[in-house]
Amino acid sequence: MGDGRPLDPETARRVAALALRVDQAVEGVLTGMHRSPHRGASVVFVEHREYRPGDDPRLLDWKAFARTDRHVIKRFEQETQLRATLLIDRSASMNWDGWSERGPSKHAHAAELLAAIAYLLIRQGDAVGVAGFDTALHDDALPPRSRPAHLDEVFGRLVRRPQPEARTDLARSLREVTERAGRRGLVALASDLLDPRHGLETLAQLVARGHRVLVFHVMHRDELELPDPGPARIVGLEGEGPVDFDGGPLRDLYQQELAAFLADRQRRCTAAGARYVLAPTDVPAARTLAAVLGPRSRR
Amino acid sequence: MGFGSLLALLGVAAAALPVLIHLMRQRDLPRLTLPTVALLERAVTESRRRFRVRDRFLLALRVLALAAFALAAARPFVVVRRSFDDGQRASLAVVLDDSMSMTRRDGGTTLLEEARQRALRAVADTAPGSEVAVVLAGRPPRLLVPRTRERELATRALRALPDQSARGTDLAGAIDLAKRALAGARHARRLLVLSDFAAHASIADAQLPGHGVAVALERFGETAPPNHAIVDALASIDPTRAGEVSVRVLVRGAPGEELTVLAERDGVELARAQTTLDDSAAGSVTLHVAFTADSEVPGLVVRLTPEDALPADDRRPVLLRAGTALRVLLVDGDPSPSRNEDEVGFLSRALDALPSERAPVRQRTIDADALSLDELDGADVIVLANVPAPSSAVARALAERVRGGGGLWVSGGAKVVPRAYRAALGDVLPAELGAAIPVDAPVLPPRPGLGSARVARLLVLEPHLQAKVERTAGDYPLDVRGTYGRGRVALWASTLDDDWTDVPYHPGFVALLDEVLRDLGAGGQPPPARTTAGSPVELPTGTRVRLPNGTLVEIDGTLSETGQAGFYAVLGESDEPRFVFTVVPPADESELLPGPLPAVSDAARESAGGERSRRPLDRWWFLLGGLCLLLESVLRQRGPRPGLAKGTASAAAPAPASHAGTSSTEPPGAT
Repeated sequence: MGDGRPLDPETARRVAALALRVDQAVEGVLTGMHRSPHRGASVVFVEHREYRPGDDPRLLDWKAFARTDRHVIKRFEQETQLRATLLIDRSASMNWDGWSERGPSKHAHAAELLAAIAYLLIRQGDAVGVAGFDTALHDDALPPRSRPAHLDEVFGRLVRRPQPEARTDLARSLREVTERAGRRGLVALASDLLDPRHGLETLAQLVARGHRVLVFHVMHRDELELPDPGPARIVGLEGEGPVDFDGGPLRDLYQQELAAFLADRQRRCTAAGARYVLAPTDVPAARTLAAVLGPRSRR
Repeated sequence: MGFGSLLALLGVAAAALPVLIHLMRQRDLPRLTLPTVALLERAVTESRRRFRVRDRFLLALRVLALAAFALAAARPFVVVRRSFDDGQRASLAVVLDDSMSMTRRDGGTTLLEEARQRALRAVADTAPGSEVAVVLAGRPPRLLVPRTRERELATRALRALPDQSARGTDLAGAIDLAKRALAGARHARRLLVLSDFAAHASIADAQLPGHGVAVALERFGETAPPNHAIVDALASIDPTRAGEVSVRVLVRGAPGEELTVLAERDGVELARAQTTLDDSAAGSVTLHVAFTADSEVPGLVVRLTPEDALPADDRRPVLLRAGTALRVLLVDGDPSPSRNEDEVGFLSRALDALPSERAPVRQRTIDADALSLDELDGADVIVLANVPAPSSAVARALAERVRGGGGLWVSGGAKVVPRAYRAALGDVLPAELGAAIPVDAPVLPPRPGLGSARVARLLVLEPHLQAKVERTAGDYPLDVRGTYGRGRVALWASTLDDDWTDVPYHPGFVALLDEVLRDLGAGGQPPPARTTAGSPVELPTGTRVRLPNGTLVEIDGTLSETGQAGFYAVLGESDEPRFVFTVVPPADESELLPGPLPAVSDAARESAGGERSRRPLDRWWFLLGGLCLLLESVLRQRGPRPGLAKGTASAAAPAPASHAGTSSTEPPGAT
């Protein structure tokens, strides 16, 4: 990603082998590979229905008429285009690459995850938009487009780095997304969810509007395991602390607090109807996405 | 508390090291960032809530351990004052003054009883394993209980101590005895002296033990109550009053004090007289009491009224007759109508001249030809004076009487047949009789009154090994004495008249007879008619004596149980009193003025409340430091770091290879 693209070729190759199948019916302008609640021309048979005046006679099932002497028409699924909105957390806490300073930062890992999704969706003809947020949505949001050339703009927005000491307001940001996302679609959120007020109840509004919501909880391995740095004075990136750390029992207690924090975020996301995915930075994005997306189906 | 090495105390500053290290580490902490610091803050809050007490305790343990080691290096010690009630293991010698002055009343009890109770407490307060010895300071000092670990022995002996005493005081001797009893003691040596420390019993400073023995002097009876006493009482025949004796009583008290003196026998008043003490606080009265030589009662008691705090010196036994008559059978081997030519003429007259204050001698004389078994009855001593030889039957009877405690005296003479004596009484006599030879030698060693006496002829005697022999010049045995059974036998190699010697012409002849006959008589040599309480009385081994309290004791050479004032009866063969003597208290015991306590050495002065000594504490501080370190290590290793926390931490940090599939959840209803 040194060329400014958040998705390295290896990741793009592996992501390309995956198929994003959104089980939930979505509305779209373009006909695509996703099921639509509207029945229409398609190759996927759904059901028979009694013929009613006004129906297209081309849809009559003559084989069924020959067997049953009844006029029934065949109903097929109509495939539509998916509108996806990618939300990336640009708070200061995301701009942290651990005490060992090896591996990507949380923001870079979040961008990679969302870029993989964007690549996949545009490659299959779906529309993808992107928005960054910290205490609110940033003004550089891109509306969903399906043109391949749009992918570069998406990548460009994803790699924009967080501002130092930028805090997080998930509730406000998600409310703004809810207002802008409009019709049913896919909303993918990548964040460390380090908002003291968590603000995850707003996810329920998105789900209520028919959106499929994916929450990638991006955590650095050093956050998860807290390697012993020796006695140190520790401060936060969004104005928290300081805390004097001397290892020992404090580390164990931190692990307990972390477990409670992760469980809380998972519970809140699940309760809102979203799918929660813990995404440590040292786990490849492709492996994380493989657990979320099914394999590409043959048609 | 003191320290043997004050410089080492600087090491106590090391106790501040843990605190300094803690503060320095806080000041120079490196600064790190962590997005989830809010979680860490909550962990810190929980940690402080949960581990604050433990952490502070750990810090305190470290500080205490360093301080303890530094203090131990400074060789701390405490000066302990060992007291008799401190419960420490000790070797305790109790000197208990059981003299007469301690029997005076103080309140409802006697000083002796108070001292006894104090001694019992001191013994009971010793720690298990302690050693206890008890010494009595009444004259003569006695080791009542040798040093022993069995305190019960001392307790029993103290409780059995008589309540009354007429003894004088010998504190110095008792303290010497106690020091010897403490020699080689295994524990801290302590000496507890319980006495009234009266002026008459003062001891020199140097007589107290010095360093190494803790000394406590406890005085009983701080003030001296008024006291009157009988100083002396002496009975004598009153030539002006037939059938009476005069008893002169000397008393002492306060000037001008009026006293009544009573003479009593078995509680019956015989006479009384009053006296007023003069300016020197002394007085005397003379009591006339009816008395005959045949009276069975040996004496009386004189008593002062009114009674005071020390009643023991208000009574005194007075001996009127020292003993019953000694019955002597004189067997005359050469009788003659002329007393001067009779074999026992000189002897008989000498016996009549024996001192009147002694027990009388009742003599009976028979001719040798009339000697029979019946004549032997009723004789305490049988004298065979120039008797050829007793018949075999008489000889057996004589041997039997001597074996039972009788006396036999055989004297030489021309009629004596030595061979017959050897055959008849060879086992009984202390020497073998030989032929008579002329010697013409002076009597040696010289006896009082016999300085120029000579022996012209005598029987040659061959004394037995155990015999006691007195020889003349020229080394001829003259007076040979021995024992046979319980009786005594004497051989006189010359005659008892003037045939072979001029001894009967010398005034010492009477004394010689008196000494020999009383020695041969049952009970042997009579004791002095009066002795001071506590003084030993020499008596023949096997003699039985009845004490004033009625107790019978058998003597092994010396009667030492003379602590009680009163009449002591030396019993004869059939338990009848043969001699009687009195024991009286020493006059100075009536002086109750308290004397000064001895000026003891520094060690002993400190030991009035106990002995000062340094008790090192360094090993205890080392032990404390070690315990602190051990406890700190245990707390640090096994502190409240629950395994649950680690388990939770593992769950909170999924492994990279498996996290995604296990950490993602589908929303409800999603397919």
